[in-house]
Amino acid sequence: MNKRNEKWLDEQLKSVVDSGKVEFDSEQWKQKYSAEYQALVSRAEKRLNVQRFLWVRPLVRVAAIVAIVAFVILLTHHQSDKRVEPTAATFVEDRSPAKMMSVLSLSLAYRQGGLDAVDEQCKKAFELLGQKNTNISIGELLNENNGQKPERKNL
Amino acid sequence: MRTTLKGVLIGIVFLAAAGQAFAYPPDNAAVLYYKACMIMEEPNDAVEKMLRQLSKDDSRVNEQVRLCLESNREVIREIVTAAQIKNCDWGYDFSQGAFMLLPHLKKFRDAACLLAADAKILAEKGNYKTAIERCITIHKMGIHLGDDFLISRLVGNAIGTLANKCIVEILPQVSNDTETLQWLRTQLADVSSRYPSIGATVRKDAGIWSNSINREGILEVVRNSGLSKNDLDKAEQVIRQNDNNEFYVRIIEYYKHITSRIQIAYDLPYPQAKQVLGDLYKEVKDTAKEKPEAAITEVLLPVINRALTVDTRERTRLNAVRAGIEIYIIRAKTGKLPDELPAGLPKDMFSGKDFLYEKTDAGFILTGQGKDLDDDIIGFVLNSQGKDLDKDIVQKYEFKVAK
Repeated sequence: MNKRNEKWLDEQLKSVVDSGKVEFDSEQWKQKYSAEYQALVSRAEKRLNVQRFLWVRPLVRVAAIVAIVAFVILLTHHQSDKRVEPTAATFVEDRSPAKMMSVLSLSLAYRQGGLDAVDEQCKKAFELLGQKNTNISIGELLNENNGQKPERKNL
Repeated sequence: MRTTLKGVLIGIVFLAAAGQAFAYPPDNAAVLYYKACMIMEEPNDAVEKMLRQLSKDDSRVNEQVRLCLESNREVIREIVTAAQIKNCDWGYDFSQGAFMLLPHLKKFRDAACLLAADAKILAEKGNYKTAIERCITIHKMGIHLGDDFLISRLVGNAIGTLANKCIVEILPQVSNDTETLQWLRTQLADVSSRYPSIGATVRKDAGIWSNSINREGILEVVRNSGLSKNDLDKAEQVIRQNDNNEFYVRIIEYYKHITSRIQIAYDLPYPQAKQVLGDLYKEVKDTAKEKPEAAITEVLLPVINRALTVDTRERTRLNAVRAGIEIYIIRAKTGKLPDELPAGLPKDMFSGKDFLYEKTDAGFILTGQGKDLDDDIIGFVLNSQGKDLDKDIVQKYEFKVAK
Protein backbone atom coordinates (compact mmCIF):
# COMPACT_ATOMS: atom_id res chain seq x y z
CA MET A 1 0.00 0.00 0.00
CA ASN A 2 1.31 3.57 -0.75
CA LYS A 3 1.08 6.88 1.21
CA ARG A 4 -1.64 8.42 -1.04
CA ASN A 5 -3.96 5.53 -0.18
CA GLU A 6 -3.40 6.08 3.61
CA LYS A 7 -4.48 9.81 3.37
CA TRP A 8 -7.66 8.79 1.73
CA LEU A 9 -8.42 6.40 4.61
CA ASP A 10 -7.71 9.13 7.25
CA GLU A 11 -10.25 11.50 5.71
CA GLN A 12 -12.87 8.77 5.62
CA LEU A 13 -12.29 7.97 9.34
CA LYS A 14 -12.47 11.69 10.34
CA SER A 15 -15.84 12.04 8.74
CA VAL A 16 -17.22 9.07 10.76
CA VAL A 17 -15.57 9.68 14.20
CA ASP A 18 -15.78 13.19 15.75
CA SER A 19 -12.51 13.62 17.66
CA GLY A 20 -13.21 17.23 18.78
CA LYS A 21 -12.72 18.30 22.45
CA VAL A 22 -15.83 17.71 24.69
CA GLU A 23 -16.74 20.50 27.18
CA PHE A 24 -19.34 20.16 30.03
CA ASP A 25 -21.78 23.07 30.40
CA SER A 26 -23.17 22.80 33.97
CA GLU A 27 -25.71 25.63 33.71
CA GLN A 28 -27.15 24.12 30.61
CA TRP A 29 -27.31 20.71 32.35
CA LYS A 30 -29.10 22.23 35.44
CA GLN A 31 -31.71 23.77 33.20
CA LYS A 32 -32.16 20.67 31.10
CA TYR A 33 -32.45 18.28 34.16
CA SER A 34 -33.87 20.64 36.87
CA ALA A 35 -35.92 17.92 38.75
CA GLU A 36 -32.90 15.60 39.21
CA TYR A 37 -30.73 18.58 40.32
CA GLN A 38 -33.23 19.58 43.07
CA ALA A 39 -33.39 15.99 44.40
CA LEU A 40 -29.57 15.79 44.75
CA VAL A 41 -29.37 19.16 46.57
CA SER A 42 -32.06 18.26 49.18
CA ARG A 43 -30.36 14.87 49.96
CA ALA A 44 -27.01 16.59 50.72
CA GLU A 45 -28.68 19.09 53.07
CA LYS A 46 -30.32 16.28 55.10
CA ARG A 47 -26.94 14.57 55.69
CA LEU A 48 -25.40 17.81 56.88
CA ASN A 49 -28.21 18.32 59.43
CA VAL A 50 -27.59 14.87 61.04
CA GLN A 51 -23.82 15.52 61.31
CA ARG A 52 -24.48 18.88 62.84
CA PHE A 53 -26.88 17.32 65.40
CA LEU A 54 -24.33 14.68 66.44
CA TRP A 55 -21.34 16.94 66.94
CA VAL A 56 -22.88 20.12 68.19
CA ARG A 57 -24.87 18.54 71.08
CA PRO A 58 -22.35 17.73 73.94
CA LEU A 59 -24.50 15.02 75.55
CA VAL A 60 -24.73 13.07 72.34
CA ARG A 61 -20.98 13.45 71.85
CA VAL A 62 -20.22 12.04 75.36
CA ALA A 63 -22.67 9.20 74.85
CA ALA A 64 -20.99 8.30 71.56
CA ILE A 65 -17.53 8.24 73.18
CA VAL A 66 -18.80 6.11 76.09
CA ALA A 67 -20.39 3.68 73.64
CA ILE A 68 -17.13 3.34 71.67
CA VAL A 69 -15.03 2.80 74.82
CA ALA A 70 -17.51 0.20 76.14
CA PHE A 71 -17.43 -1.61 72.82
CA VAL A 72 -13.59 -1.74 72.84
CA ILE A 73 -13.51 -3.02 76.47
CA LEU A 74 -16.11 -5.68 75.74
CA LEU A 75 -14.22 -6.83 72.67
CA THR A 76 -10.91 -7.12 74.58
CA HIS A 77 -12.56 -8.96 77.47
CA HIS A 78 -14.26 -11.39 75.14
CA GLN A 79 -10.97 -12.21 73.45
CA SER A 80 -9.15 -12.83 76.76
CA ASP A 81 -12.00 -15.16 77.81
CA LYS A 82 -11.40 -17.36 74.80
CA ARG A 83 -9.45 -20.55 75.76
CA VAL A 84 -5.96 -20.33 74.32
CA GLU A 85 -4.98 -23.80 73.21
CA PRO A 86 -1.29 -24.54 73.61
CA THR A 87 0.44 -25.89 70.57
CA ALA A 88 1.86 -29.40 70.52
CA ALA A 89 5.39 -28.08 70.80
CA THR A 90 4.78 -26.08 73.94
CA PHE A 91 2.42 -28.48 75.66
CA VAL A 92 4.98 -30.81 77.25
CA GLU A 93 7.00 -27.92 78.61
CA ASP A 94 3.86 -26.25 79.95
CA ARG A 95 2.85 -29.22 82.09
CA SER A 96 3.67 -29.15 85.76
CA PRO A 97 6.48 -31.52 86.81
CA ALA A 98 4.05 -33.48 88.96
CA LYS A 99 1.70 -33.99 86.03
CA MET A 100 4.62 -35.38 84.04
CA MET A 101 4.52 -38.35 86.41
CA SER A 102 0.83 -39.17 85.96
CA VAL A 103 -0.38 -42.55 84.69
CA LEU A 104 -1.34 -40.82 81.46
CA SER A 105 1.98 -39.09 80.84
CA LEU A 106 4.09 -42.09 81.78
CA SER A 107 1.99 -44.46 79.66
CA LEU A 108 2.41 -42.15 76.69
CA ALA A 109 6.15 -41.90 77.34
CA TYR A 110 6.32 -45.71 77.34
CA ARG A 111 4.57 -45.77 73.97
CA GLN A 112 7.16 -43.40 72.58
CA GLY A 113 10.29 -45.09 73.85
CA GLY A 114 9.69 -47.86 76.38
CA LEU A 115 10.96 -47.81 79.95
CA ASP A 116 13.93 -45.61 79.10
CA ALA A 117 11.51 -42.88 78.03
CA VAL A 118 9.58 -43.34 81.30
CA ASP A 119 12.83 -42.95 83.24
CA GLU A 120 13.78 -39.89 81.24
CA GLN A 121 10.42 -38.23 81.83
CA CYS A 122 10.56 -38.86 85.59
CA LYS A 123 14.11 -37.58 85.71
CA LYS A 124 13.11 -34.39 83.95
CA ALA A 125 10.18 -33.96 86.35
CA PHE A 126 12.43 -34.39 89.40
CA GLU A 127 14.90 -31.89 87.94
CA LEU A 128 12.07 -29.38 87.48
CA LEU A 129 10.86 -30.05 91.01
CA GLY A 130 14.39 -29.47 92.23
CA GLN A 131 14.08 -32.40 94.59
CA LYS A 132 17.04 -32.80 96.90
CA ASN A 133 18.18 -35.81 98.80
CA THR A 134 16.65 -35.93 102.27
CA ASN A 135 18.73 -38.65 103.83
CA ILE A 136 19.31 -37.00 107.16
CA SER A 137 19.32 -38.51 110.64
CA ILE A 138 17.45 -37.17 113.67
CA GLY A 139 20.82 -36.21 115.21
CA GLU A 140 21.73 -34.20 112.13
CA LEU A 141 18.32 -32.52 112.18
CA LEU A 142 18.77 -31.58 115.85
CA ASN A 143 22.23 -30.21 115.12
CA GLU A 144 20.79 -28.18 112.27
CA ASN A 145 18.06 -26.81 114.57
CA ASN A 146 20.78 -25.80 117.04
CA GLY A 147 22.46 -23.83 114.31
CA GLN A 148 25.22 -26.35 113.54
CA LYS A 149 25.91 -27.30 109.97
CA PRO A 150 25.53 -31.06 109.55
CA GLU A 151 28.54 -32.86 108.15
CA ARG A 152 27.36 -34.98 105.28
CA LYS A 153 29.26 -36.78 102.60
CA ASN A 154 27.98 -36.45 99.08
CA LEU A 155 28.47 -38.63 96.11
CA MET B 1 -9.83 -57.25 144.64
CA ARG B 2 -12.14 -56.17 141.82
CA THR B 3 -10.33 -52.83 141.53
CA THR B 4 -6.95 -54.55 141.27
CA LEU B 5 -8.27 -56.84 138.52
CA LYS B 6 -9.63 -53.83 136.63
CA GLY B 7 -6.28 -52.11 136.93
CA VAL B 8 -4.43 -55.16 135.61
CA LEU B 9 -6.84 -55.49 132.67
CA ILE B 10 -6.52 -51.80 131.77
CA GLY B 11 -2.74 -52.18 132.00
CA ILE B 12 -2.79 -55.16 129.61
CA VAL B 13 -5.02 -53.32 127.11
CA PHE B 14 -2.76 -50.25 127.31
CA LEU B 15 0.38 -52.32 126.75
CA ALA B 16 -1.21 -54.13 123.80
CA ALA B 17 -2.28 -50.82 122.25
CA ALA B 18 1.15 -49.32 122.82
CA GLY B 19 2.69 -52.37 121.16
CA GLN B 20 0.45 -51.84 118.14
CA ALA B 21 1.23 -48.12 118.02
CA PHE B 22 5.00 -48.63 117.98
CA ALA B 23 4.98 -51.79 115.82
CA TYR B 24 7.74 -51.95 113.30
CA PRO B 25 7.75 -52.67 110.44
CA PRO B 26 4.35 -51.23 109.52
CA ASP B 27 1.81 -53.51 107.86
CA ASN B 28 2.04 -51.56 104.60
CA ALA B 29 5.20 -52.00 102.51
CA ALA B 30 4.48 -48.84 100.50
CA VAL B 31 5.26 -46.66 103.53
CA LEU B 32 8.81 -47.99 103.61
CA TYR B 33 9.16 -47.89 99.84
CA TYR B 34 8.17 -44.20 99.78
CA LYS B 35 10.67 -43.59 102.59
CA ALA B 36 13.38 -45.38 100.61
CA CYS B 37 12.59 -43.25 97.54
CA MET B 38 12.87 -40.09 99.66
CA ILE B 39 16.27 -40.91 101.11
CA MET B 40 17.76 -42.32 97.94
CA GLU B 41 20.96 -40.62 96.86
CA GLU B 42 20.24 -40.21 93.16
CA PRO B 43 22.96 -41.79 91.03
CA ASN B 44 24.51 -39.38 88.54
CA ASP B 45 23.98 -40.00 84.83
CA ALA B 46 27.13 -42.09 84.40
CA VAL B 47 26.38 -44.32 87.39
CA GLU B 48 22.76 -44.67 86.34
CA LYS B 49 23.93 -45.86 82.93
CA MET B 50 26.26 -48.38 84.58
CA LEU B 51 23.47 -49.63 86.83
CA ARG B 52 21.17 -50.15 83.86
CA GLN B 53 23.95 -51.93 82.00
CA LEU B 54 24.50 -54.26 84.96
CA SER B 55 20.91 -55.37 84.58
CA LYS B 56 21.42 -56.15 80.91
CA ASP B 57 24.59 -58.22 80.97
CA ASP B 58 26.93 -59.94 83.39
CA SER B 59 29.41 -57.06 83.65
CA ARG B 60 31.14 -56.49 86.98
CA VAL B 61 30.38 -53.78 89.49
CA ASN B 62 32.92 -50.95 89.28
CA GLU B 63 34.13 -48.47 91.90
CA GLN B 64 31.62 -45.71 91.09
CA VAL B 65 28.70 -48.09 91.48
CA ARG B 66 30.18 -49.36 94.76
CA LEU B 67 30.35 -45.77 96.07
CA CYS B 68 26.74 -45.17 95.04
CA LEU B 69 25.76 -48.37 96.85
CA GLU B 70 27.53 -47.28 100.01
CA SER B 71 25.61 -43.99 99.97
CA ASN B 72 22.38 -45.93 99.68
CA ARG B 73 22.84 -48.59 102.37
CA GLU B 74 19.81 -47.24 104.25
CA VAL B 75 17.72 -47.44 101.09
CA ILE B 76 18.61 -51.10 100.66
CA ARG B 77 17.83 -51.80 104.30
CA GLU B 78 14.39 -50.17 104.05
CA ILE B 79 13.56 -52.01 100.83
CA VAL B 80 14.62 -55.40 102.18
CA THR B 81 12.31 -54.82 105.16
CA ALA B 82 9.47 -53.58 102.96
CA ALA B 83 9.66 -56.54 100.60
CA GLN B 84 8.99 -58.92 103.49
CA ILE B 85 5.64 -57.26 104.20
CA LYS B 86 2.75 -58.91 102.42
CA ASN B 87 0.46 -55.90 102.08
CA CYS B 88 1.41 -52.98 99.83
CA ASP B 89 -1.05 -50.11 99.43
CA TRP B 90 0.35 -47.17 97.46
CA GLY B 91 -2.52 -44.87 98.45
CA TYR B 92 -3.66 -44.20 94.89
CA ASP B 93 -6.60 -41.86 94.40
CA PHE B 94 -8.42 -43.77 91.69
CA SER B 95 -10.99 -41.00 91.24
CA GLN B 96 -8.29 -39.06 89.36
CA GLY B 97 -8.27 -41.67 86.61
CA ALA B 98 -5.26 -41.48 84.31
CA PHE B 99 -4.20 -38.20 85.93
CA MET B 100 -3.15 -40.06 89.05
CA LEU B 101 0.49 -39.58 89.94
CA LEU B 102 3.10 -42.34 90.09
CA PRO B 103 6.19 -40.45 91.28
CA HIS B 104 7.85 -43.57 92.67
CA LEU B 105 8.20 -45.58 89.44
CA LYS B 106 11.66 -44.42 88.34
CA LYS B 107 13.19 -44.38 91.80
CA PHE B 108 11.75 -47.81 92.41
CA ARG B 109 13.48 -49.11 89.30
CA ASP B 110 16.71 -47.37 90.34
CA ALA B 111 16.42 -49.05 93.73
CA ALA B 112 15.95 -52.46 92.07
CA CYS B 113 19.14 -51.87 90.04
CA LEU B 114 20.99 -50.95 93.26
CA LEU B 115 19.85 -54.21 94.83
CA ALA B 116 21.00 -56.16 91.77
CA ALA B 117 24.41 -54.49 92.00
CA ASP B 118 24.52 -55.34 95.69
CA ALA B 119 23.64 -58.96 94.87
CA LYS B 120 26.57 -59.10 92.44
CA ILE B 121 28.97 -57.73 95.03
CA LEU B 122 27.71 -60.19 97.65
CA ALA B 123 28.16 -63.06 95.18
CA GLU B 124 31.69 -61.86 94.39
CA LYS B 125 32.41 -62.04 98.11
CA GLY B 126 31.00 -65.56 98.30
CA ASN B 127 27.77 -64.59 100.16
CA TYR B 128 25.62 -66.47 97.67
CA LYS B 129 22.59 -67.03 99.84
CA THR B 130 22.33 -63.33 100.78
CA ALA B 131 22.95 -62.44 97.12
CA ILE B 132 20.01 -64.62 96.05
CA GLU B 133 17.93 -63.13 98.87
CA ARG B 134 18.52 -59.74 97.26
CA CYS B 135 17.16 -61.16 93.98
CA ILE B 136 14.06 -62.45 95.75
CA THR B 137 13.64 -58.99 97.26
CA ILE B 138 13.77 -57.54 93.73
CA HIS B 139 11.07 -60.02 92.66
CA LYS B 140 8.87 -59.00 95.58
CA MET B 141 9.35 -55.33 94.69
CA GLY B 142 8.04 -56.08 91.20
CA ILE B 143 5.01 -57.85 92.65
CA HIS B 144 4.38 -55.00 95.09
CA LEU B 145 4.07 -52.56 92.18
CA GLY B 146 0.71 -54.27 91.71
CA ASP B 147 -1.71 -54.73 88.87
CA ASP B 148 -3.60 -51.43 89.03
CA PHE B 149 -2.05 -49.89 85.91
CA LEU B 150 -0.44 -51.33 82.83
CA ILE B 151 2.47 -48.91 83.12
CA SER B 152 3.32 -49.99 86.68
CA ARG B 153 2.88 -53.64 85.67
CA LEU B 154 5.37 -53.12 82.83
CA VAL B 155 7.88 -51.62 85.26
CA GLY B 156 7.15 -54.57 87.55
CA ASN B 157 7.90 -56.93 84.66
CA ALA B 158 11.21 -55.20 84.01
CA ILE B 159 12.10 -55.54 87.69
CA GLY B 160 11.20 -59.24 87.54
CA THR B 161 13.44 -59.70 84.51
CA LEU B 162 16.28 -58.07 86.43
CA ALA B 163 15.77 -60.46 89.35
CA ASN B 164 15.72 -63.55 87.11
CA LYS B 165 18.85 -62.51 85.21
CA CYS B 166 20.62 -61.93 88.50
CA ILE B 167 19.57 -65.36 89.83
CA VAL B 168 20.75 -67.14 86.67
CA GLU B 169 24.12 -65.40 87.06
CA ILE B 170 24.54 -66.58 90.66
CA LEU B 171 23.07 -70.09 90.21
CA PRO B 172 26.30 -71.77 89.01
CA GLN B 173 27.94 -70.80 92.32
CA VAL B 174 25.25 -72.65 94.30
CA SER B 175 24.70 -75.47 91.82
CA ASN B 176 26.06 -78.05 94.30
CA ASP B 177 24.23 -76.62 97.31
CA THR B 178 21.01 -78.65 97.52
CA GLU B 179 19.72 -76.80 100.55
CA THR B 180 20.01 -73.35 98.96
CA LEU B 181 18.52 -74.66 95.72
CA GLN B 182 15.53 -76.13 97.54
CA TRP B 183 15.04 -72.90 99.47
CA LEU B 184 15.17 -70.97 96.19
CA ARG B 185 12.64 -73.36 94.63
CA THR B 186 10.15 -72.50 97.41
CA GLN B 187 10.82 -68.79 97.13
CA LEU B 188 10.26 -68.73 93.37
CA ALA B 189 7.11 -70.86 93.65
CA ASP B 190 5.78 -68.18 96.01
CA VAL B 191 6.80 -65.40 93.59
CA SER B 192 5.11 -67.25 90.72
CA SER B 193 1.87 -67.71 92.67
CA ARG B 194 1.76 -64.01 93.57
CA TYR B 195 2.61 -62.78 90.09
CA PRO B 196 -0.13 -60.31 89.05
CA SER B 197 -2.35 -61.35 86.15
CA ILE B 198 -1.90 -59.19 83.06
CA GLY B 199 -5.57 -59.74 82.12
CA ALA B 200 -6.67 -58.25 85.44
CA THR B 201 -4.25 -55.37 84.92
CA VAL B 202 -5.69 -54.60 81.48
CA ARG B 203 -9.22 -54.67 82.94
CA LYS B 204 -8.34 -52.22 85.72
CA ASP B 205 -6.29 -50.02 83.41
CA ALA B 206 -9.15 -49.75 80.90
CA GLY B 207 -11.48 -48.67 83.71
CA ILE B 208 -9.07 -45.96 84.81
CA TRP B 209 -8.58 -44.64 81.28
CA SER B 210 -12.30 -44.58 80.54
CA ASN B 211 -12.67 -42.32 83.61
CA SER B 212 -10.36 -39.85 81.89
CA ILE B 213 -12.27 -39.59 78.62
CA ASN B 214 -13.06 -35.90 78.66
CA ARG B 215 -11.80 -32.86 76.78
CA GLU B 216 -8.66 -32.37 78.90
CA GLY B 217 -7.73 -36.07 78.95
CA ILE B 218 -8.17 -36.59 75.24
CA LEU B 219 -6.28 -33.44 74.31
CA GLU B 220 -3.34 -34.47 76.47
CA VAL B 221 -3.29 -37.96 74.98
CA VAL B 222 -3.51 -36.68 71.42
CA ARG B 223 -0.79 -34.08 71.97
CA ASN B 224 1.64 -36.58 73.46
CA SER B 225 1.08 -39.54 71.19
CA GLY B 226 3.89 -38.71 68.81
CA LEU B 227 1.52 -37.79 65.99
CA SER B 228 2.91 -35.80 63.08
CA LYS B 229 2.04 -32.09 63.01
CA ASN B 230 -0.48 -32.75 60.27
CA ASP B 231 -2.19 -35.63 62.09
CA LEU B 232 -2.17 -33.67 65.33
CA ASP B 233 -3.89 -30.72 63.66
CA LYS B 234 -6.49 -33.07 62.20
CA ALA B 235 -7.08 -34.75 65.57
CA GLU B 236 -7.45 -31.42 67.34
CA GLN B 237 -9.86 -30.27 64.66
CA VAL B 238 -11.97 -33.42 65.19
CA ILE B 239 -12.08 -32.73 68.94
CA ARG B 240 -12.99 -29.06 68.42
CA GLN B 241 -15.72 -29.90 65.92
CA ASN B 242 -17.26 -32.53 68.21
CA ASP B 243 -16.62 -30.93 71.57
CA ASN B 244 -19.86 -31.89 73.30
CA ASN B 245 -21.00 -34.37 75.91
CA GLU B 246 -22.57 -36.73 73.41
CA PHE B 247 -19.23 -37.09 71.59
CA TYR B 248 -17.41 -38.12 74.78
CA VAL B 249 -20.18 -40.62 75.63
CA ARG B 250 -19.74 -42.14 72.16
CA ILE B 251 -15.96 -42.44 72.71
CA ILE B 252 -16.45 -44.11 76.11
CA GLU B 253 -18.90 -46.62 74.62
CA TYR B 254 -16.64 -47.49 71.70
CA TYR B 255 -13.54 -47.63 73.94
CA LYS B 256 -15.28 -49.98 76.38
CA HIS B 257 -16.51 -52.16 73.52
CA ILE B 258 -12.96 -52.56 72.18
CA THR B 259 -11.26 -53.02 75.56
CA SER B 260 -13.75 -55.74 76.58
CA ARG B 261 -12.76 -57.65 73.43
CA ILE B 262 -9.09 -57.10 74.27
CA GLN B 263 -9.65 -58.61 77.70
CA ILE B 264 -11.18 -61.72 76.11
CA ALA B 265 -8.16 -61.97 73.79
CA TYR B 266 -5.82 -61.92 76.79
CA ASP B 267 -7.32 -65.18 78.05
CA LEU B 268 -6.37 -66.97 74.82
CA PRO B 269 -3.08 -68.79 74.25
CA TYR B 270 -0.33 -66.39 73.17
CA PRO B 271 -0.32 -66.94 69.34
CA GLN B 272 -4.13 -66.71 69.10
CA ALA B 273 -4.18 -63.69 71.39
CA LYS B 274 -1.65 -61.93 69.15
CA GLN B 275 -3.76 -62.77 66.09
CA VAL B 276 -6.96 -61.41 67.68
CA LEU B 277 -5.22 -58.24 68.86
CA GLY B 278 -3.77 -57.69 65.38
CA ASP B 279 -7.24 -58.10 63.78
CA LEU B 280 -8.77 -55.80 66.36
CA TYR B 281 -6.13 -53.19 65.64
CA LYS B 282 -6.97 -53.28 61.92
CA GLU B 283 -10.69 -53.05 62.68
CA VAL B 284 -10.24 -49.94 64.85
CA LYS B 285 -7.96 -48.36 62.25
CA ASP B 286 -10.49 -48.94 59.46
CA THR B 287 -13.42 -47.68 61.55
CA ALA B 288 -11.38 -44.60 62.45
CA LYS B 289 -11.64 -43.43 58.83
CA GLU B 290 -15.38 -42.90 59.29
CA LYS B 291 -15.99 -42.52 63.01
CA PRO B 292 -14.12 -39.95 65.13
CA GLU B 293 -14.75 -42.00 68.30
CA ALA B 294 -12.72 -44.84 66.75
CA ALA B 295 -9.95 -42.43 65.78
CA ILE B 296 -9.74 -41.20 69.38
CA THR B 297 -9.93 -44.77 70.74
CA GLU B 298 -7.04 -45.74 68.47
CA VAL B 299 -4.86 -43.16 70.19
CA LEU B 300 -6.26 -43.85 73.65
CA LEU B 301 -5.70 -47.58 73.80
CA PRO B 302 -2.95 -48.61 76.16
CA VAL B 303 0.13 -50.56 75.23
CA ILE B 304 -1.83 -53.80 75.08
CA ASN B 305 -0.05 -55.54 72.24
CA ARG B 306 3.38 -54.88 73.68
CA ALA B 307 2.24 -55.69 77.20
CA LEU B 308 1.08 -59.17 76.17
CA THR B 309 4.50 -60.06 74.76
CA VAL B 310 6.42 -58.47 77.64
CA ASP B 311 4.30 -60.31 80.21
CA THR B 312 4.48 -63.67 78.40
CA ARG B 313 8.25 -63.28 78.03
CA GLU B 314 8.68 -62.53 81.72
CA ARG B 315 6.51 -65.46 82.83
CA THR B 316 8.40 -67.76 80.48
CA ARG B 317 11.72 -66.55 81.89
CA LEU B 318 10.53 -67.17 85.45
CA ASN B 319 9.32 -70.65 84.47
CA ALA B 320 12.64 -71.37 82.79
CA VAL B 321 14.51 -70.39 85.96
CA ARG B 322 12.22 -72.60 88.06
CA ALA B 323 12.66 -75.52 85.64
CA GLY B 324 16.42 -74.88 85.63
CA ILE B 325 16.53 -75.05 89.45
CA GLU B 326 14.83 -78.48 89.33
CA ILE B 327 17.56 -79.69 86.99
CA TYR B 328 20.24 -78.21 89.25
CA ILE B 329 18.69 -80.03 92.24
CA ILE B 330 18.78 -83.37 90.37
CA ARG B 331 22.42 -82.74 89.50
CA ALA B 332 23.25 -81.75 93.10
CA LYS B 333 21.61 -84.95 94.36
CA THR B 334 22.83 -87.42 91.70
CA GLY B 335 26.09 -85.79 90.68
CA LYS B 336 25.10 -85.51 87.00
CA LEU B 337 22.69 -83.67 84.78
CA PRO B 338 19.59 -85.66 83.73
CA ASP B 339 19.56 -86.99 80.17
CA GLU B 340 16.00 -85.86 79.59
CA LEU B 341 13.83 -83.09 80.91
CA PRO B 342 11.96 -84.31 84.01
CA ALA B 343 8.17 -84.33 83.72
CA GLY B 344 5.91 -81.74 85.33
CA LEU B 345 8.24 -78.74 85.16
CA PRO B 346 6.98 -75.18 84.56
CA LYS B 347 6.28 -74.58 80.86
CA ASP B 348 7.12 -72.16 78.06
CA MET B 349 4.28 -69.63 78.13
CA PHE B 350 4.61 -68.75 74.43
CA SER B 351 3.59 -72.27 73.37
CA GLY B 352 2.10 -73.74 76.55
CA LYS B 353 4.48 -76.69 76.05
CA ASP B 354 7.52 -78.01 77.93
CA PHE B 355 10.89 -76.40 77.30
CA LEU B 356 13.28 -78.29 75.05
CA TYR B 357 16.25 -79.48 77.07
CA GLU B 358 19.79 -79.73 75.78
CA LYS B 359 23.02 -80.50 77.66
CA THR B 360 26.08 -78.43 76.76
CA ASP B 361 29.74 -78.37 77.81
CA ALA B 362 29.04 -75.48 80.20
CA GLY B 363 25.76 -76.78 81.58
CA PHE B 364 22.38 -76.92 79.83
CA ILE B 365 20.00 -74.88 77.71
CA LEU B 366 16.23 -74.63 77.95
CA THR B 367 14.53 -73.53 74.74
CA GLY B 368 10.95 -72.40 74.32
CA GLN B 369 8.82 -74.14 71.70
CA GLY B 370 6.77 -71.07 70.88
CA LYS B 371 7.84 -67.98 69.01
CA ASP B 372 8.13 -64.64 70.77
CA LEU B 373 6.15 -62.52 68.33
CA ASP B 374 7.51 -59.24 69.52
CA ASP B 375 7.09 -56.45 67.03
CA ASP B 376 7.23 -52.71 66.79
CA ILE B 377 3.55 -52.26 67.45
CA ILE B 378 3.67 -50.58 70.81
CA GLY B 379 0.09 -50.52 71.92
CA PHE B 380 -2.17 -49.78 69.00
CA VAL B 381 0.07 -47.14 67.53
CA LEU B 382 2.39 -48.27 64.79
CA ASN B 383 5.77 -46.89 65.68
CA SER B 384 7.76 -47.61 62.56
CA GLN B 385 5.87 -46.41 59.50
CA GLY B 386 3.97 -49.68 59.33
CA LYS B 387 7.04 -51.89 59.01
CA ASP B 388 6.34 -55.46 59.99
CA LEU B 389 9.16 -56.27 62.35
CA ASP B 390 8.00 -59.61 63.69
CA LYS B 391 11.08 -61.07 65.22
CA ASP B 392 9.89 -64.67 65.49
CA ILE B 393 12.42 -65.26 68.23
CA VAL B 394 12.59 -68.57 70.03
CA GLN B 395 13.65 -67.81 73.59
CA LYS B 396 16.73 -69.68 74.90
CA TYR B 397 17.87 -69.76 78.50
CA GLU B 398 21.41 -70.85 79.22
CA PHE B 399 22.35 -72.31 82.60
CA LYS B 400 25.93 -72.97 83.65
CA VAL B 401 27.12 -75.41 86.27
CA ALA B 402 30.16 -75.22 88.54
CA LYS B 403 32.94 -77.53 87.35
